Amino acid sequence: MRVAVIEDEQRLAENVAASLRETEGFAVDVARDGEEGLYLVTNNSYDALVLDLMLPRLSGIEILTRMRKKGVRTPVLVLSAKDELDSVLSLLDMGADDYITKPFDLRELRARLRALIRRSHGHADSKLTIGDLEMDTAQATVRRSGEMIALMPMEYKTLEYLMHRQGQVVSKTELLEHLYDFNWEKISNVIEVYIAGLRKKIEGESGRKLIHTVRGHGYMLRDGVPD
Amino acid sequence: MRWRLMGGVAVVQILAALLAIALVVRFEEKRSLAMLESSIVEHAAMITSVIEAPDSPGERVVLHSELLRLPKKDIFLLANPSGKVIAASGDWQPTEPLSQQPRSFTTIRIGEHRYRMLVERDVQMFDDNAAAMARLPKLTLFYGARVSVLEEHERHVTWIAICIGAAILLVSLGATAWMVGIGLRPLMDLAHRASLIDESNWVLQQGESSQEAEELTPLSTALSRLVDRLHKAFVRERQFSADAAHEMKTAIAIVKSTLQLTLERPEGAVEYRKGIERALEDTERMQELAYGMLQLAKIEGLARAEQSRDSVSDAVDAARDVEQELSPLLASRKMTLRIHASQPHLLARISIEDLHTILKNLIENAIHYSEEGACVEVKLDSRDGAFLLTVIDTGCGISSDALPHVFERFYRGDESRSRGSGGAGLGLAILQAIVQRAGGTVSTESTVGKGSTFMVRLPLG
Repeated sequence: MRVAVIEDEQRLAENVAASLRETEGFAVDVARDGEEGLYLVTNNSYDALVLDLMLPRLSGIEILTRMRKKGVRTPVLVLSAKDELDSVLSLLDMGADDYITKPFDLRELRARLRALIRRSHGHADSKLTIGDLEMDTAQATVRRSGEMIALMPMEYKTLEYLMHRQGQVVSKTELLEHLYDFNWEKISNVIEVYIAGLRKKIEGESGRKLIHTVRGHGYMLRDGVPD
Repeated sequence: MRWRLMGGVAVVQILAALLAIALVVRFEEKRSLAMLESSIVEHAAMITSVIEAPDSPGERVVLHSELLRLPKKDIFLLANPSGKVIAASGDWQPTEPLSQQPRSFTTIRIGEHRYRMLVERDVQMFDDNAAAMARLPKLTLFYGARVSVLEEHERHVTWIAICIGAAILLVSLGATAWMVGIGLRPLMDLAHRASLIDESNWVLQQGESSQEAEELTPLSTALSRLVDRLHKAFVRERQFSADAAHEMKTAIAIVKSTLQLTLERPEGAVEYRKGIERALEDTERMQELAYGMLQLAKIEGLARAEQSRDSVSDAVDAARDVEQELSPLLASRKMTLRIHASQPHLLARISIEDLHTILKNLIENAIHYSEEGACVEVKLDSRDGAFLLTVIDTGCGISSDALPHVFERFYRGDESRSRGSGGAGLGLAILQAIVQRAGGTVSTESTVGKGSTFMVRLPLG
C-alpha cells in the first residue's frame, strides 16, 4: 500500500510515516506543505492520504477540494485539531472520508487508514478471502485451509495488494508504485521474484492456481482452474 | 424610564389641577361675596329710600316698610343714635360693638345662621323737603343676608371645578402616556436592535426611520463603534484561543506519537534512549510554546492594566548586555554582531526588561535565519524625536506574501519560518505586543535571499 502524509509539522510527519512504514509495511511519501501535497496527490497513485488541515501555502481543505475536482478518488483521512461538529461535517461534505483529532493514537490512525483502504477496495472487514485462502489484514496473517502460511514482508504486501484488487489485472508498474516509497530505486524484476515466492507458498502442490499471469499486462488474482 | 417619566408628569399635572381648582374656587368665593355685598347695599338703599323724615320736630321717623320688597331671609334694623330701634325685620339686637366706620361689612352669627352684615351710620337719605331732612336724626342701618346661600354656591362651584379638573387631568394623562410612548419609541427601537446583538450577530441594525431618532444618532453611532471594537477584540481572542488550542494539541500529538513509536519499535536500550531524547526535544518545544503564550497573555493583560511609562532605559548598555549574553550562540555559528550607536548613551522610554527582550528577540531571529559566518548589524539612533533600533541580517529573507503576517501569532505561512525551523511562531508577536505597549512601532523590510531589516521605534527617554 502506498500512502501520502501531508503534514507541515516535521516531527509529527516523521512519526506517522515511520509508524506506517514499520508497522503496516506501507510505502509512505511525505509532503511538508500544501502545494507539494497537491502535486504528490495528483501525480501519483495512492491507496490513502493522511491530510493535515493547517498547512502553509495551500490549506488541507483546498487540497481536498482541488483533488476531488480533478477526479482523484483516493480515500482521505484528515488530521484535525478542531473537533467542532460543524467543521467535521463540512470536511466530510467536502470529500474527506474520515477524520481523527489531534492528539491522536498512532494505532487508531493506522486502524482507520487500513479500514479506509479496505473499503475503497470494496471490503467491509479486515479479512480478505479467495477460495480457501484467507488473509487477516489486522493481524497480518495468511491461512490456507486453516493452515498458517509464513510470508516474507514484501511477499505479504504484494499478496495484500492483489487480494484487494482480486479479479482485476494489476500491472507490474502499479505493484511497484504501491509497494515502494517513491524515493526507492525501482527494480522491475523484484516483483517477479516475489510473485514466484508467493506462488510456491500459497499454491503449493494443490494445482489450484490463484495468481495468474496476464501476458503483457501483469498479474491477476482469481480462484479457478489453471489456464 | 417610561413609568418614571409618566409618574413625574402625572404628579406635576395633578398639582397644577389642584392649584387651578383652588384659584377658581377662591376667585368665585370673592366674586360671589362681592355680588352678595352689592345686593345688600342695593337693598339697604331701598330701605333708606322709604324712610320718611318727620314733618315737624318731635315727630317720629317713619319707615314705610309696606313699600319694601326684600328677600325673605334677609334681616335689617334701623336705629337712631341713642340706640332706639326705629324699625326692624325681626327681634334681634346688634350685640357686638360695631365698627365706627361710616359703612362697613362684618360677618356675624345670629341664632343658627351666619349673616353678612352691612352697618351704615349716618344713613344718607334723599328728601325733597330740605327742612325735614335737617330735622332727621343721624340713623344707623343694619342690613344682613345669610351667608349660607354663598356657601352653597361655593360648594357647587368647587364641585364643578373638581369635575372639570379631573376630566382634563384624565385626558391630559392619557395624551401624555401616548406622547411618551411615541417619544420613547425610537429609544425602545434602539434598545430592541441593541438586544439583537450577540456573538453570532455583531451588527447594530439600522432603524426604520432615521429622522425619528435624530437625537439618538450619536448614541447609536457610539454603540455601533463599540460593538465593532468588541467584535474585533472578540474575533482576535477567539482566533488566539483556537490557534493556541491547535498548537497545544499538535504539540501533544507530537510527544504522544514519538513515545508510541518508541514503544512500537523493537526493544533495546539504544532505541529507547533515542526515543526518550526525541520525546524530550518535543517536550521542550511544548514548554517553549506554553511559555510564549503565557508571556503574550501577560503583556496584553498588562497593556490594559497598569503601565509603567515612567521607566527609561539606556539602549546602548542593553545592546551590550545582549551581545554578551548571546556571545556563545554567535561563536557557535561563527557569526559576528556589530553595534553602531549614534551617541554613547541613548535613552528609550521603556523598561529595561522589555528593551532586553526586544533586542534579544530580534538578534536571535537574525542569527537563526542567517548563514553560518554571517554578520548581524544593530543600529541605535535617535531620529525625529524617537529612539530607533534597526537590526539587519543577511539571511534567507521573508517572502513578500509572508511579510505582512510575520507579526501575527502562530503565523506559519512562510515555509522557511514554519515549524521545521523550530520556534512556536510567537517571538515576533510578543515583540510587537511589547513595543506597542510602550507606545512604539515595529516594522520590517525584507528581500528573499538577501536578508531582513527590523525597525523598532520607541519614544525617547
